[in-house]
Amino acid sequence: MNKSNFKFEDLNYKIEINNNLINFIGTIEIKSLNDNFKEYIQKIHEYILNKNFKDIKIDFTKLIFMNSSGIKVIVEWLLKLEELPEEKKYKVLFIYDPQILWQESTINTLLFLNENLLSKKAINQ
Amino acid sequence: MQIDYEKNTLGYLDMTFGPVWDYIPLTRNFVENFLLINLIEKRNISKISLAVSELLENAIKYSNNDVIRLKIIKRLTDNSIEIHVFNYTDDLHANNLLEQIEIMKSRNSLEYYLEKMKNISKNNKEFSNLGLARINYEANAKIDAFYNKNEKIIETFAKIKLELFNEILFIKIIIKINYK
Repeated sequence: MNKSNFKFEDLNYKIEINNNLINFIGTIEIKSLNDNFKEYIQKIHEYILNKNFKDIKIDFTKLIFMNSSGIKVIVEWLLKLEELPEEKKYKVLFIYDPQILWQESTINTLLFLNENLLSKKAINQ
Repeated sequence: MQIDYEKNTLGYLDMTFGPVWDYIPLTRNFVENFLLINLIEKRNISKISLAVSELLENAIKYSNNDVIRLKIIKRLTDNSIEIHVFNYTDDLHANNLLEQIEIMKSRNSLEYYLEKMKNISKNNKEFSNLGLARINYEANAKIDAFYNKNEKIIETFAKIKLELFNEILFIKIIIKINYK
């Protein structure tokens, strides 16, 4: 696995990691927290810490849908940021498509989890 | 025999199918495409398809028998869409759901949703009901549930107010589908 450019693929979605840009593509509709998705997110978190990134971008613009079980995994990831020592903490910018309407309402709620570290930007803004 | 729309409705969709996980995206996409023909406001479609998806997910997770039923209704007298999902379950799951919904109804929807998120690592993850909190807040849906203890059938219900009043003019279709 090339650590600076790798991806995870499942049946209905893939996650592409290019340095500090993480693209979520497809439909994330996981059934339980034992799904591979949780493992992928944990690996991405570890990769970011190993690379010592201070800012990352999560691009949802090609993500058609994410169910609440998928959101749980994302929330668990974001909550981990608070537990990190100050020097390890990183900022997250969510990039979303305003035409995919669930994205903005879900991301707006996620931002409440940590207003210092989390922010959002609409595509083409 | 009379061919007609369901009485007192402007639109009616009724589907029954087996509790198969892969039917969730299939059904969500179908409902979304169906509504694209009948509703003009995309925000309404997004809210309804989100609610359908999350309610079906809960029903399939906690179903203990071979059938799920989804009804989407637009009544003549109400500028809302009703989504009803029925599944067989047991007393434990039914009572847990009823209790969670009662708590949710008494709380501010955003605060409740955020609390559910923040407590994910503490709670029993399989019973977190984050999906219901999500549609309560993100789709601005009024949620309730009714349990028939004798039949062991739980009906979970979400009512979503349409954002444009004249949307009622565009719904005039009934589809009944049954797949296992």
